[in-house]
Amino acid sequence: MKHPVNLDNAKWLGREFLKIFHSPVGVAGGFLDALRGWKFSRSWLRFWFHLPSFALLIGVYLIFGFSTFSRDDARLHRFSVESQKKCETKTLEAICNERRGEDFFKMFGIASSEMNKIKTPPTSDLTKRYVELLSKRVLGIRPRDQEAHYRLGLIYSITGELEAAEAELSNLASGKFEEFPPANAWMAKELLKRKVAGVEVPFQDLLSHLEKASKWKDVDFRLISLYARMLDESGETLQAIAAIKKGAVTRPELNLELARFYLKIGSREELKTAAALAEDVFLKRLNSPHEQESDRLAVAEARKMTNRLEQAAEVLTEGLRNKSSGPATSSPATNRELSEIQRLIYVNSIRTTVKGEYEADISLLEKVVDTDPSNPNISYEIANLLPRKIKPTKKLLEALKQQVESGIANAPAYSLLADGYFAFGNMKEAIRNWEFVLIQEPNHIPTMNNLALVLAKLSDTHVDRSLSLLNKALALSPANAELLDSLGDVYLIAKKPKEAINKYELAIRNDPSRLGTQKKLFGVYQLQGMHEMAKTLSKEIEKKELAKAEEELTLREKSQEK
Amino acid sequence: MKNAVPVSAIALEMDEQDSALVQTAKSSRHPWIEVLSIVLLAAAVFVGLDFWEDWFSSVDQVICSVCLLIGLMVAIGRSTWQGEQTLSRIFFAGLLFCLAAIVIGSSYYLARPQLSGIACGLILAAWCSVRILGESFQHSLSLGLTFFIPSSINALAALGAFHWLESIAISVMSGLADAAEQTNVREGEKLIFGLGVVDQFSCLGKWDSVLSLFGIAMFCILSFRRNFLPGVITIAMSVLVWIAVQGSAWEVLISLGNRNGIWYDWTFGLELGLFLLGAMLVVSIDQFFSALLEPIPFEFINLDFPLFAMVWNWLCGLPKLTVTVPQREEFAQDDLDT
Repeated sequence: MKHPVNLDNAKWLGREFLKIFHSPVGVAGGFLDALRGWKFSRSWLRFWFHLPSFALLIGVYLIFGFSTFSRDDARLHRFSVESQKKCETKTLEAICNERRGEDFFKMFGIASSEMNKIKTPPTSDLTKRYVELLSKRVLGIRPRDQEAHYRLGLIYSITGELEAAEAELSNLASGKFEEFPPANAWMAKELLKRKVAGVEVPFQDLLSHLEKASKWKDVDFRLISLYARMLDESGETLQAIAAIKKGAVTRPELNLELARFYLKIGSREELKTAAALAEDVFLKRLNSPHEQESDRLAVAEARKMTNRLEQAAEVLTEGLRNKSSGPATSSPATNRELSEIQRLIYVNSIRTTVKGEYEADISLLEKVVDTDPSNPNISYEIANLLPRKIKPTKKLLEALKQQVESGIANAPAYSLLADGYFAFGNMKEAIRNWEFVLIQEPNHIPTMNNLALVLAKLSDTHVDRSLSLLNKALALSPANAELLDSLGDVYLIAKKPKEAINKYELAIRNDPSRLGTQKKLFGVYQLQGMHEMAKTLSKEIEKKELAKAEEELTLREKSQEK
Repeated sequence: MKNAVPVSAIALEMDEQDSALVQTAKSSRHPWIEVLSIVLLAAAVFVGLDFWEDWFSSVDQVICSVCLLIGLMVAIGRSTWQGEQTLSRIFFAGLLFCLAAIVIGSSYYLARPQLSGIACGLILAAWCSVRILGESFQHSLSLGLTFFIPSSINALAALGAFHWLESIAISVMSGLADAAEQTNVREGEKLIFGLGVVDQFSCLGKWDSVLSLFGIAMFCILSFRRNFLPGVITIAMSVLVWIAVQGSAWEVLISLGNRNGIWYDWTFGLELGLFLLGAMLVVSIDQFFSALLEPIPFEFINLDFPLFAMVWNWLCGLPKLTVTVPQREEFAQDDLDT
């Protein structure tokens, strides 16, 4: 018998489901049968053939899942380690310094740093990009990560994006999160660079960055030197010494700067100690593959400060000898320093005899000329031979002539030369040399005074220039009796006796001991018919002359007694 | 009475004795169906001319359309045409035609040409329901839905769904890139690498193939699957395939770029290659899931406990199980006789 069965038949379906309750084992068996049926009915070849596609998708999904849900601290560690592996922060700093150039330290007269000697490895643009991206990733997870901000700032600085670098590092240097001295060091160097380039930089900002930077244990010691100098400039010398002393504990190079400060304040014992320590530090670097010119100069300076001039000259001579045996390179700084030390040796050699005459070993001065003919102090020393009545050799005269002609002699040398020419009556040469002095030192008051007088005496046509020179000098030193006296003289030449009287009187009021001025005033009073005034003044002059004569007599008696 | 047994395979053999009842599409009555379909279709195309012009201006949308069209043709070709022309079919087709007319009117009145695709889909579904007599209404509707796809993609783009998809893709990308290389950083919807390739995903307006892969997935559904589950899996997988293929290509190029220090550009040829690879993977994955999810044939079903097999077959989409089947007892009797 056939029974049509319709699967839509609810009764049949209901019965099938009810089997779960009255025949559960059978249902379980049915389930296993269904599984078996499923397994045997598959096309397994098709399954294996297409499995790789599915495996690929599962792989992608798992990789994504694991990387997305990995812990933040683990990722942070991974990125930081990876970033440091690509390029260490120290290397970044070195590249940054190299790119920025550190010539501005030389402008402040500070020796080169040990850091300069680290050869920066060649870093590809790709590495920089890596570091930038990794730093950004770290900041994505931890926005206040100082190290990442710093590295990012350094990268910007290296790639020339200075604005972005400054935005990163100034933020960090402001101590917004926490103090981070390396950022202050970067900011300080950037401000110094600008200052050297002529941009106005707020003194307080620079000082504050330097102060914070000096707390960094790896800070460039030159920044501490500058910090101390700035403190010294603002009158806080003791604080400057304290800062240098603190820095010198970890950076012994700073002992040189410390010695300079002790020299300045005249602290002999401490100077000796600091100079000895500095000498030790720099001496160790000599004759090593990393030796730099500044190391020898530092040793020489330390010895010079403690008056060991011969030893100072010796270390520099040795340096020059090493250089000449190696590749031919000029070392003007060493030559200059050596000639300066030799000059000091020469100056020390000058003696006065019993008769009051001067004696000096001229060969020492010739040595100075040999070492560095362009040292401007040479012309000064040669010119100084004239008033000391020591005859210069032909070689010295030649050197002097060369320096004067090439305009490298310094102001005191020109001044001495001018005085010499004046004494010998060569007004033309005297004026020329005084003009050289004023080019180098436009506010040199004695030169302005001398030049004004000589010009006025030479011709009436120069009176205006003379007056302007003297007025300028008076503006610099308003109570200077000598200047007032000269101004009186020039007014007399310009035939302005009233103004002359006024200036003479002012000069005498400022310096009552000026007998010469009083005599000049006496003459002018008489010329102007001011007899009463002249009479009173003549009495005063007589009194002073008497007193002077008495004084001279007692002095002579005393010397005779001696 | 013993258990009634559903026997689909036997039922599908289509008893010869029923052939007298069968009517073919060619011998069908109601010739106005074709006339009405063509008129409405022309109206829909005319109203939505701007939309179709815009739709075919993009390479990937053209590829998507071609895939859909092939899939549709295959699906229609594989359909069972023979069946009974009932009044309900006529009524259902009439309803769909009315709806299509309303949609065309709205499209014209509201100046929204993108509705044209929906109207075309409704017209196709109406025609199929009257002419493909061996298939159900759902089947007609699913064929008609093919034409809905361009309009749907347009609507999704307008709603910003592709930006959302792009955002997900970027997250997946950054995760993948993170696993291989640490040097990538996400800034908004942009992924920046050290060296290598373009740094951004874009789902529309470029040859980026996600739409093409959608088209291929739909083609697979229409051509191979006439059931819901593997189809849904295939279309969902097409997005993953797209991300996986593009992500892997990125990773390879970034690694090469970083190792060699050379910048690799994302070229048209590369995109084309990736599209072909993606298409292959989509079809492959579709085959993989269809191999796993195909129905259990009758001969493997325990007739005493068919519940799990039935449920499985219902989920995986076994063909009609509504015909009469022989009873269990008779088989038993035959066995005893022998």
